[in-house]
This record gives sequence, structure tokens and C-alpha cells, in this order.
Amino acid sequence: MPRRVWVVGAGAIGSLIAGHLAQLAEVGVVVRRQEHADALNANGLRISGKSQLHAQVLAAVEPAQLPAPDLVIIATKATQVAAASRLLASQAKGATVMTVQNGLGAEDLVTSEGDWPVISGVTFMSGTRHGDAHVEYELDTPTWIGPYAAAPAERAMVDAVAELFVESGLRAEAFDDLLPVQWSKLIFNATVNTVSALTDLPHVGLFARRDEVSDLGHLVHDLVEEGRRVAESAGVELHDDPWEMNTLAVSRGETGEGDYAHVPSMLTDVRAQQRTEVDFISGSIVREAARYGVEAPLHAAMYRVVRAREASWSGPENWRV
Amino acid sequence: MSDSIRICIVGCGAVGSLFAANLAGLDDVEVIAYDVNQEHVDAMNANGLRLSGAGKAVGLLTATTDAGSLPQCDFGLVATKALHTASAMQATAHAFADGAVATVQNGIGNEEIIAEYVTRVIRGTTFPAGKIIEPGHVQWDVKGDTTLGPFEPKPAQYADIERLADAFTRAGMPTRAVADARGPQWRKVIFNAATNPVGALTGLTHGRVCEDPALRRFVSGLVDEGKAVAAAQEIQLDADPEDLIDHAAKPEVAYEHKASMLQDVEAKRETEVDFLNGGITSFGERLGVATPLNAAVWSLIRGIERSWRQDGPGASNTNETDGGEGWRIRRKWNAATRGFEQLWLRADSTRRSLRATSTPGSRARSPISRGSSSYIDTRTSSYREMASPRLSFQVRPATSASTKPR
Repeated sequence: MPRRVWVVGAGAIGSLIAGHLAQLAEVGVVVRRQEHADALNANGLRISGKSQLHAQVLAAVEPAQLPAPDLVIIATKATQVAAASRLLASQAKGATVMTVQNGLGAEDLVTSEGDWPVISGVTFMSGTRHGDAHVEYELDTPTWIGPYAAAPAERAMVDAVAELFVESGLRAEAFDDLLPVQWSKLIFNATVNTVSALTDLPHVGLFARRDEVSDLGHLVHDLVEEGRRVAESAGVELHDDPWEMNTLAVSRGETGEGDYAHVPSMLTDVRAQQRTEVDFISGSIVREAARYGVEAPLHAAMYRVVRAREASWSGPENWRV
Repeated sequence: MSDSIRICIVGCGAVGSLFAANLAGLDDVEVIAYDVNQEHVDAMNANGLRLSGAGKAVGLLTATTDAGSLPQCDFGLVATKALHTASAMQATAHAFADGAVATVQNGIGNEEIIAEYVTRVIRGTTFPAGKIIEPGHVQWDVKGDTTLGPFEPKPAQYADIERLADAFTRAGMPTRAVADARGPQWRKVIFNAATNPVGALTGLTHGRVCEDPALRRFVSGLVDEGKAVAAAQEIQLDADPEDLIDHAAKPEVAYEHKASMLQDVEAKRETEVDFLNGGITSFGERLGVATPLNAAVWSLIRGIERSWRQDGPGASNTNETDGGEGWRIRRKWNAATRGFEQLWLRADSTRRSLRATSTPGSRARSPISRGSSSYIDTRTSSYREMASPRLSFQVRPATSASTKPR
């Protein structure tokens, strides 16, 4: 099992991973703000909700200040992966790098900065940060990992990482090929996140309702079907049915508190007027569709509208066509 | 010399006011404005209906909120939002027993509703636009043409349609009467359905929507679906909606204009989407024409409208929970730390106590009262009170994140 782990990015996901793994491994956390590092070093990292933990971690803005790792988990937003990879460029030699971002494309950004073996990861867990040193663990759904085909980590390492996750209290599973899982989540995210971001609705029952002609469930279903066609053209057999993922997510209160409704990260970003991950999510579907010569007009429309919404917060000089 | 005309403007919002104020300037036209907004009606009765901007006028007319008091009118001009057509007609139909009722509303489906209440209906489309500045005063933003024609299932007499068009034109609202007014109507519906929701979903003004090439292509996608539905009914559009879209994007026309649907969404007012993209989708379904983009946009705008009625976890309007003993815990997003902070508030008879449980050294921003805000500096290590006329604050940095103030 890896004994020294760096977690780059201590948002909700990074904090959950760091806090749990620190029970069994030495965890260094790389953050962007000195005051964030100071808070973690002074107070440790507290996890509440589905786990109750108080973890010791070593936090820094400069990775060079941390002891060399066996494993680096990049847990930043997809929009920060390029910068995180550059930060690691001459560091962490001999380490395996793991990505857990939404969408597709994070691994490529990593491999363009170094020749580490790479583990692809997809996570379904979620949490809410309550400040720099406290995260609430809300959804304890698993993290799925597998070797990244273009720069694969050893299968033994993949299994060891899964074991580390599980023993530290997180749920995880290793796969030979992660693409079926990645595509299932990609289509789910491209659908649910963009609809949520544009309607200001958290992921509520309306997303599965198809009674009236104008019910949101119709659009959700059509986006899933279109995504499915793109996956098929890319030769990927989906591991899960994104429509079923949708109906399951809204049909029960995940935390057992009845009225729970998940606020997708893209909705949080839009409410805070911060750049979203739409390029990596919907943008990936649009690019893959073009690559395989199929049409994806609904995903293209959602992509363009979300990008335009982002542009409305700043001036047209910040648009990218 | 034509006989005098008594016309009731049903719904004296921005567009209704443009007609009402201008018509009131004609000697041979008596204008009655019916609206449900008491303040607006009172202001019009007191000082007349004022227009400024692209054209100036002060129309002297009679305004009322009491539909029962309306006399028999020669004409009605319905200018309410499409979602209010039915209720407006329910209230006012009695005044048009011997008259004809024209509509200049957005969307498709209004004539059908009006025809349920009166027997002589005039299909109409209008392009002038404006904005209500305050009760009794409307800003005229955009000038343009109006087209009137018979509503085929229950038509008004053509001579009456010409008479109305003539009065509008003399009043400064150029209008033509045509045998088939569906062309201009569908051209405008397609224009509105392709541009209004895009403004509403993106927050961009019309000009900025058109400047983004990918977004402009999406707008064209909506237009193409609308054109297909019109073609399936053998309607000849009187002009290409694409030309209208590009023309409106010019700085001197409507570049800076926020689409009415965007204005509605920002004000959390129900939109006319059911009569725009909903109309195109419904007609398309009946005619066997696929309209996936219009259907998608319809669902999204309806989703936004539903989000205003959401309560509970995740809703943007519910970020306060009960902290016990009169304390409320408000979750606030801190963009700098990308995390949520907790603010404890308790209102008592003289002051609100506020405690920011954020990391020492950070700055938590919190509204004190409507319209004002203040930074609460959490670097102090002891209680610090900030006095204000109505509120004072106690601030203590967090050592234990979630404990109540003592």
C-alpha cells in the first residue's frame, strides 16, 4: 500500500480523501493559499457527517516542502489540473499520479507534464466544506479506479490504492478499464449538472418527471439518450445507465433525512459566478461526437449556453469560441 | 371623416401604453385603459399617460381597474402578457359584445383564447417595445410596424380591421391591414422564441448573444425549427426572422436590450415561454415536425420558473437553519476560500447578534440590512460590537466551528 500520499487540492473531494487516507498513510496536502495550509497545519482536518474523523496532515503551498510521495492524487477542479500538473512537473518522481476529476481529459493534462504512471479515477462521493479545516461527508458512494490506458499504472498499484481507500473508510473498487464508468458519469454529469446550473434547481424529483410535455425529465432523458449514442459511436459500453443513475439519485434521501437534494458542483459554481467545468464535461461529449462523426445537438446547446452564461459575468474579451 | 372610435386597451403595460398614449392624441378616438395595477391606473388618471424616449407624448385618457365599469367599446386591444389573456378576457368580454377585439401580444395561442369569449377577433403582431419607468410613465425603446388581419375561425369584418389600422397609423403607430396576418405573427414568434430564452438562460443582452458565433448558431437552430413548423402550415413568413435578429443586434436598435424573458427571470415573474417555444413545440407535435431545441428550451425555462417555488435543502432561497434558542444559522459562500461559512444570527427587540464562525484572519461579508452590507473582520480575538441604527454585531472568530455563541 502507498505509505506517503500527496493530495493536491483540498476542496470537498480532496479534503475527504486526505482526511480518510491520513488514518493509514502519511498525507501531504498541497493547497493554493497559505492561510489554508496554515489552518490545516494548526488544526488538522476534521471530517463530520458519514465519518467522524480528525486527521493530522502536513499542508503546504510548495510541494517541495513535503516528503516525497508514492502516490499523488490530484483532486482539484478539472480547470486547475493543468496548473497542478505543472506544479508537480519536476517533483514526485517515481510516484503514481491519480486523477479523480469530473469529465474527460484530466489524465492527458497530467501526462503532458511528466511520465508518471497514471490511475484514472471517478468518484461519486460528495461533501460540503465548512471552512478550510472542516468538511462534512454527505454522500459515501464509491470511488472507482483503473489504469489510464495511455500511461498505465501497474495493476498491483491500482489494487493497492483501492485497498488503501477501503481500509481508511472510503468505498472504492478497481477496474481493468475505467472508460465504461467514466462515460456513464460523464453523460450523467453533462446532463444533470448543466440542467441544474441553468435552472437553479438542485437535483430534485423534477429531473425524472415526464408527465407534462414541458417537464424537465423529457430534456434529461433526451440528453442521456444523445450521450448514449455518442458513447456507442466511441465504442464504449456504459457501465451504468445514466437515466437510472438520475432516477435513483432523486428517488431517495441519500442522507436519510428525506428532503436531501444534491447541489451539483456546476450549480454551486454558477451561483458563485465562478468558471465551471463544462469544458471538460459537456465539452468532452461535443468533442468526442465530432471525432466519431455523430451529432450531439442538445449537448452542444447546453455547452454553448453555459459558456455564454460564464461570459455574462465578465466581458466578451474572456470568451473562447 | 370616420366616426369616432372608442377603444379599450386591455392590459396597459409597456406595449399597451404605447398604443394608449398615442391613440389618446387623436381627436376621433376615445381611449380607455384597463389594467389591474392600481398605482399605474391612478397615475394615468391623475396626470395622463406619459411616453418618453423614441417618441414623446402625454395621453389624456380614462384608466380603470374595474372591468365591470367598462362601457360598450368599438374595439378592444389586448396587450397583456400571454399568460393573462384568459383572465383579462373573462373580465372584459362584456364590453366588446358589438365590437371587435384585436391582440398585439407575443406568442401563438392568444387569438384562440380570445375567440372563446368574443365573436369578432383580429390577429395582430406588433414590434414597438418599451419599458415601464414608473406608474404612469413608459419609456419607448423601439419603434416599428404593426400588422392586423382577420382571425380566420372567428374573423372581424375586414372594413373594421382597416379602420383600426388607419387609426393606429394616424396615431403614430404605423399599421397595415392584410388578408392573412399569420406570416408576420409567425415571423415574430420565431424571432422571440429564438432570442428571448437564450437571453434568459445566459443573462446576455441581445447584441452580446449575437456576437458569440456558437451561440448565434444555436439561435439559428431554434429559428430553423420554427420555420419548419410554419412551412408545415403553408404560412408565408413576411420576412426572414434571421434578418430581424441581425437587425436588432445593431447598437442603434436593440444591442443593449435585455430580452423581456430575461427581465422576467431576473424579477422572478412567470414568463411567456408556453406561448413561444411551447407554442412552436405544440404546433410541431400536431403537425409531425420535430422541434428538439425548442422543446429543450421550453423545459429549461419552465425549470427556472419552478425553481422559484423550491424550498428546502439545496434551494438558493433557503440557506438558513435553526440553531436553537432563537439563533438562525445562515450558510454563506465565501468565494475566496471556496467554502461555506456559518453566520449565527439572532434577532431580539433592539439588535441582531451576529457571529461569524470562519477562520481567523478571513473576512466574512454579511448583509446588515436591505441594500447595505458591511465587512465583519474576524481577526479580533474578542467580542467586538459594531453599532448601527438598527443592528449591532458581536464577532468572534471560530475556534470551535459549530458551537453557539453564549
